Amino acid sequence: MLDIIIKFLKALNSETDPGQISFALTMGMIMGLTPLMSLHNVIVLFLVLVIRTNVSSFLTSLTLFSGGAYVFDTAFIQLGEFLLAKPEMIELWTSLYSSDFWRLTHFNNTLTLGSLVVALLLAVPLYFASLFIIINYREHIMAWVKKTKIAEIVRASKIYKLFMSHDLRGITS
Amino acid sequence: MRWIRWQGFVTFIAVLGLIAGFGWLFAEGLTKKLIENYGSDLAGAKVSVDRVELTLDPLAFNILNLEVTDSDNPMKNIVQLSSINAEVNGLRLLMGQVLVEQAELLEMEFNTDRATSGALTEKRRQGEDSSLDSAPSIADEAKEVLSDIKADLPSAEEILSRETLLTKTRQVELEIAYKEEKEKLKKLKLLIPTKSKIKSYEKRIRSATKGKINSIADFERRKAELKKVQAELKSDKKAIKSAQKQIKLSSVLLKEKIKALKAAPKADLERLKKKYDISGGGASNFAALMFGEQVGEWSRLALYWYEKVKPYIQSSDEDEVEGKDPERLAGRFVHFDIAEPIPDFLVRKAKVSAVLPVGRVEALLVDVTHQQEIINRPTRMTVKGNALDGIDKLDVTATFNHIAKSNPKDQLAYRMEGVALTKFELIGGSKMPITLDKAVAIVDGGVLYESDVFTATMNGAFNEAVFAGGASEGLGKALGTALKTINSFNLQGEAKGNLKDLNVSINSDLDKKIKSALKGQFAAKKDALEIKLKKKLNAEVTQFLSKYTDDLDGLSDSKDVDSAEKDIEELLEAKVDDYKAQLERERKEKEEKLRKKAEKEKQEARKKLDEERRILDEKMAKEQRRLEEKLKDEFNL
Repeated sequence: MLDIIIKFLKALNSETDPGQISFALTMGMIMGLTPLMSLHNVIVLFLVLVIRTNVSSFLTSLTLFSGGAYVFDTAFIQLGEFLLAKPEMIELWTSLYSSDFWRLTHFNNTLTLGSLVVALLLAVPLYFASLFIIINYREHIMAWVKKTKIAEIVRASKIYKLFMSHDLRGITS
Repeated sequence: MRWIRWQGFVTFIAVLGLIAGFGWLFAEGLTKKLIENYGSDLAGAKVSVDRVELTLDPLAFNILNLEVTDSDNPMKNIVQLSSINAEVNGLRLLMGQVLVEQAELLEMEFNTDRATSGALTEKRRQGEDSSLDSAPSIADEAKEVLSDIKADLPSAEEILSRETLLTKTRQVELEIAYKEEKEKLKKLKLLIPTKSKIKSYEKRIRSATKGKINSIADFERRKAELKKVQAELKSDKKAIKSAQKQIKLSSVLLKEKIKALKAAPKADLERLKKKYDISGGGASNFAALMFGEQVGEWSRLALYWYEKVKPYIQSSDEDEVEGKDPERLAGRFVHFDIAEPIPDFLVRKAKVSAVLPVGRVEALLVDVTHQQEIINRPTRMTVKGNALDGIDKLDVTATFNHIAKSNPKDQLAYRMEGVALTKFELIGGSKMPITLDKAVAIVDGGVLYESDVFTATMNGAFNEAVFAGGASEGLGKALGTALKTINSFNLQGEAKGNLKDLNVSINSDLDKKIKSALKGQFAAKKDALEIKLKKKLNAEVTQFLSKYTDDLDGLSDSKDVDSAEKDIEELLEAKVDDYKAQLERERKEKEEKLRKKAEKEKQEARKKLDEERRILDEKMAKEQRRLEEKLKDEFNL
């Protein structure tokens, strides 16, 4: 876990494309909030592996959101129950229920539907918000921190060198 | 192309491959574990599987040697199957549904021995309710009745000495009630004033109310004394009222007890007549006596097995119906109305071959699911058996309807033809053993379980019957002889209730036949016995009551109490005269006296005056006469 966080911090402070990090964070959020064994997560995994994203950021996001999802499970289930029982939508659900493909997605599971709806609603805001934060962080905070005396001392320290030279086992971007 | 990572595609395929590979590698073991763990939870005892085999094309599983332990007897299996083959719909499995189009359950056996105990470490027992041991035995009831049937009619003395008679019970009740009531009245009578006490009250009242009041202080003293006496009288009056009330209550209670005692000989006689009159009404229970135990045991056995099977046919979604929160991270699958809805678990058809003690039977199960409300069809079962050991033909059809979860209804109909009975023990023991040595029967009936009530019915037509047994003398012998003349009979049985309280009723033309065969054999003896019993019971009551007649009359006699009450009421009316009124009265008396004196003096004065006037008048008349005579003389008239 520490490895993943270190890699995420390195990616944040490196020249890695901010879009790749934001996309990875978004995908991690979707997979983290929804039940792991779902068809849509196969698609998420495919996207994360085939599109050039920062895997450390994805794994960090996945871990954080999986942990947080436990807190919101009841709310997700209630949302799923509400949507699946909504009279105006019964026709839509019934037609989807008739299709084998849609049944494979487990859309009729209250937790899957509730959590996926929330994850998809959060996806676009999260992508742009994280993109904005990363760009601004690099432009302002990181540049300012680098110029400070403390940062120079830290950079010169053995711990920092050890941190930078940390063996990055696993997949990197 | 800056965003595409081609090696990621390979990684993706590799990851999926690895997941599928490992899944397949461990699937058999995982399935075995799932069946054993889930099954054990459900059965409350060990469920074991030797091996699970999976095939990909077609996607199927084969469970080998499934054993389900009997939770009440861990060294026995409730059921054992040599193999279960089922083809599973792979696509549905990915959708989270187990859909089996056809399954085969081979060599199903019941109540088989286990090599090792199948008890769970923490045994989750269903409770004692499902145990056959806890059920009241019809055999015990039959034995009790049997113990009353002797080889011959007993004497009246014998009957009266060994029977718990209602007459005796009522006598004891009356005796106890009499003692209790007597004690109560005795205590109350102590509080009632005696004649001497009443006389002392009279004396005190007289001294307070009679005689001249000399002063106000004297008046007040008398008044206080009278008040004191009145308070005592009131208290006595209260005690008298309580005594009168108690006398009434005691009288009513004792009268009721006496009435009940007088009615007891009749009730005793009716009961004894029924009990010892085997040639009359007693024979109407003979079929129940012979077959009731067996029908009860069969019904109880059926119910016992039903209770065992019930958890497997009940819907597992009942918790949700009761409003239990969905489990965390699980959610629930919502089903929608479509043309062909599929529940989470469904076996469309299952062929079962079962090995029973009577031979091999074939069964077909249709629509086996715990979510019948989704397919809107009940689970159905048919069982067929031919040329079985002792049964020519067996047909069973059953429907387990749990579509409406709040009102499940399970029913079964059966028919057995050519049922050969041999050496079928009807009444055991050495006193009067009766056996149905041989008979061929056609038996049909049904079983219904609805609203927690179990109802089983049976109709049997028995032919070529050969009875054996009976006692060596008396009634038992006659009964044995009577049964030997019967070669066909019918029997209708019904068992209703639950495992702990199963009411069994039996009807049969056998009773009529036995009654007819025994008719007249014991009629004379029975009549004599009845008369003797009646006389003895009535004499017992008369003798008993004669001891109490005087005492009982005395107990309810309230003359003394009533008389005391009357005296006290009269005494309570006494009053002390008012002192002022006394003075007024004295003044008036004086005035009256003076008035009378004045009147007397006045009358005397008047009298004197009248006398004087008369004397004067006389004198005047005399003088007038003298003057007239003088005039006459002077003028010579």
